Amino acid sequence: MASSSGNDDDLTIPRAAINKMIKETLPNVRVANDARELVVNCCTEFIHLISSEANEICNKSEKKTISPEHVINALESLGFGSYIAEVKDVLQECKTVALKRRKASSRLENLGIPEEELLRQQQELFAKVTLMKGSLPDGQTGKTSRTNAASPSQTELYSFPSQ
Amino acid sequence: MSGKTVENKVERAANNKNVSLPMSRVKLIMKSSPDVSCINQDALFLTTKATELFVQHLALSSYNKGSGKQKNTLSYSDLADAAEETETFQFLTDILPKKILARDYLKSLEEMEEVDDN
Repeated sequence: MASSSGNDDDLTIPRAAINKMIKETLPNVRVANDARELVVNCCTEFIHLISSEANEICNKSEKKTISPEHVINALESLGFGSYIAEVKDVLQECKTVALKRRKASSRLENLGIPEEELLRQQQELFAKVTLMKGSLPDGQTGKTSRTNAASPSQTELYSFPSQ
Repeated sequence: MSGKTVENKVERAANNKNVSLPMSRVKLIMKSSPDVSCINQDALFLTTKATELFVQHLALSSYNKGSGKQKNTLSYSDLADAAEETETFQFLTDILPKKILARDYLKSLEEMEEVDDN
């Protein structure tokens, strides 16, 4: 594979993801294979470009972690300012969705709909196991240690896959 | 613990809806840049999303500008042309050299030699 600089450039975005995006952007257009390959490599190059620029901005601001602000400023200074509005929107959307889910989950508890029932049952099960553990002759803790670790902080219980 | 859970929720929301590229891979690529240490999760998200927009932008403008449009194709040279002609894409010229036919290359070599002789 064409490698531009250094050894770490074997890392690329998966070809399938790129193909899908190209197809969505240019439906019904035939794209040559070497062109696809190129787009994959361009992605990597773009990511390096943005991260280096954002990293520089970050260093100048004497912070240790690259923040969203740094990325936005990097996009602006590299001529990709037109992307900024949309990426910001999508980020905001995601956060709103995440926040809503959290609020909804805690509201559900109070309203007492099926999910709350599940949670309660889960709590009961945990309680039962704890009781069982107490009554084991040798006071064995081997098996139950994992249960204890999983033992419910409220937020842990909300991570249902179906959500 | 709860902070991490919120982060995971953002990532999951991102994976479900709005982002097609794998953020974990983007993170790996970012970290392979020299000196890059820590990246905030939201910053990673923005970068991933920006990369997506970049792919779309590159594909679209290469196609629209390029000669493949009549034939409804997108070729290597369409991309290479876009890299050269669009200012924001110029960083790609290192990895997107315009392909030229061998005979054209040899011809231009000859021409250069002639100039040297004169």
